[in-house]
Amino acid sequence: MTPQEMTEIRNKRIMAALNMEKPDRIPINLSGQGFFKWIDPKAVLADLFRNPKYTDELTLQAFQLPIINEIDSAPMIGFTTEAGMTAFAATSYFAKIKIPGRDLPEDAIWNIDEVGPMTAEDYDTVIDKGWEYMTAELYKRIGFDPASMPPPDMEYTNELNAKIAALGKTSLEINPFLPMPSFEVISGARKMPEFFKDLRRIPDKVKAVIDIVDEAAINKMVGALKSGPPCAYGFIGGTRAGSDFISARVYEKYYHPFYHKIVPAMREVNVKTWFHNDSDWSGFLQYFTEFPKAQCIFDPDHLTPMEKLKEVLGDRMCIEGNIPPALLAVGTPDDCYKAARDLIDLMGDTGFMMGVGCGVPVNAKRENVEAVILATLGK
Amino acid sequence: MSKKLTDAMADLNEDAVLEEVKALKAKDVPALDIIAYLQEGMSIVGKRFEEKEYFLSELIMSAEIFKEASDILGGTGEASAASKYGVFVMGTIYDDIHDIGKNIVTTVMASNGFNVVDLGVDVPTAKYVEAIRQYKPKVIGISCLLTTAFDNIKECIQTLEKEGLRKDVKILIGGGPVDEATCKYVRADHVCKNAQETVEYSKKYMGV
Repeated sequence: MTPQEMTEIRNKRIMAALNMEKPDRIPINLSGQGFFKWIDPKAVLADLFRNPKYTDELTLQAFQLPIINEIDSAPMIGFTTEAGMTAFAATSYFAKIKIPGRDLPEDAIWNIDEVGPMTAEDYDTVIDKGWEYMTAELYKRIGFDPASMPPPDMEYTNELNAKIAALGKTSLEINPFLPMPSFEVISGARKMPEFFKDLRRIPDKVKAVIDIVDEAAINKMVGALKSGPPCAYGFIGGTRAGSDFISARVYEKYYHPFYHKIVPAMREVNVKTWFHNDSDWSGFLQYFTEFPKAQCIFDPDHLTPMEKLKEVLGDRMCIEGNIPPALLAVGTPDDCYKAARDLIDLMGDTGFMMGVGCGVPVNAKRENVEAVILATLGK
Repeated sequence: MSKKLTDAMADLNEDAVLEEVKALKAKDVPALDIIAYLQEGMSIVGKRFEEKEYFLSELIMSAEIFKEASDILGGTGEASAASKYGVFVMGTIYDDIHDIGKNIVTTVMASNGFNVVDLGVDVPTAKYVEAIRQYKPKVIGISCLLTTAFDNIKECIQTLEKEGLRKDVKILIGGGPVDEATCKYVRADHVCKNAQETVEYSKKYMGV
């Protein structure tokens, strides 16, 4: 079979799962940044930034290992640069990034370093002058200059894309540039403790600002989706608002309106919404039943129980998950095999993709990832 | 008894808490008494959290307000001086700079009558060793949000064993990815899912 034929099979498999139809087998979506270490155990996480072409090459090799080559998703390569991660932290949370080898030990994972450049007075600035003005001001305060970011190396990107295509992985286009929910953006801009106090001190101003940011973000996203290449789905992250974090009252007023507005906007341009939601969302799952069947994907971390997801959303949207990342790092292959089999027994083979809560940790053992794959393949 | 201060703390009314603390201080009410009122309010916060009236966001807020109030009285050391129970040492393990979970736990423990020694974030093993020798805690907490730092916790606990400091101390771990498999791997005593569980476990262990 040629790589192109394999890609077609994988695309059909994943689209069947996303459309709540029965695929030829359960798709295996295992992404992470540490696969390169299986090829060169002496390589360290600082190499991701210091020598990205080397770690990209090793990751490509890892994806061709026996059993590992059954993963349907494409490897995560080509984006872990110092500039890219600086931009990610700045544009997502107005934060800085700590990088291994520069700010952290050689083999530590990168950390987001929150700054909280927005003041309580800035709510008025947003209301008076708009979010675009405030964004530029906040970038200045954290020393981030988007104009100084190096342009993408298109030659290298094309080279990587050709190598990924040769692996026969899925080629379904993903839009990685979707906005974070405005609740999360302002929480990062203020820093979480201050933001939660704002919700009590000045609730109306917070709501007014979130509405302004919602509108700006959704308009920008729709423009980007319309003008960009066609894509099957786009990611939206959610990390600071599970039902263990905030009350239903706060969720309804400040958070869910973003989802309520963005899902139909994405649907209009034929793009599915992939919710990548960390922490425990079990108390808020009923809000997601408002979305049309097969329009969304729910991708939790290990804190949202899969039983609850199956019960509330199992007939509404594809669910991806949910092997606990710690198990891949410190468990045994038997533990991982059993966890994967238990998941399949619970979720069935329709509207489900095998995955790991949040992502495969960089210190996942190869034999543990293999065990998850074998269990999914029924071997 | 300042019911006004206790209620304001329980209701997370920051302005009222700070105003009342300043007023009581101006009346020469002893700092330890004021701390006791705040602690009473914090225990109501804990109860509301257990009853799902409050959530993590409220615990984070309560920790901030308690700290601000303590600062007016000379810092969280005052809360420690008012402690009824033993010493609790806590930090986020080295190579990890996450602080919110650690701050919630240390404040909730301090407000529940423990003498808290907060070692901060990115804490090297040597600092845990030094703190255990100096403060002789019965329970310590290690926070960790990164699976890559699991080996650091394991190394820290192994070092405590080698230094002969392990047998007299219970080691609690917690943080997003930490689970029972992690607990077994790093050889800790217990995984705490939240701050209240840390309080309950510590009280039980200390025979309170």
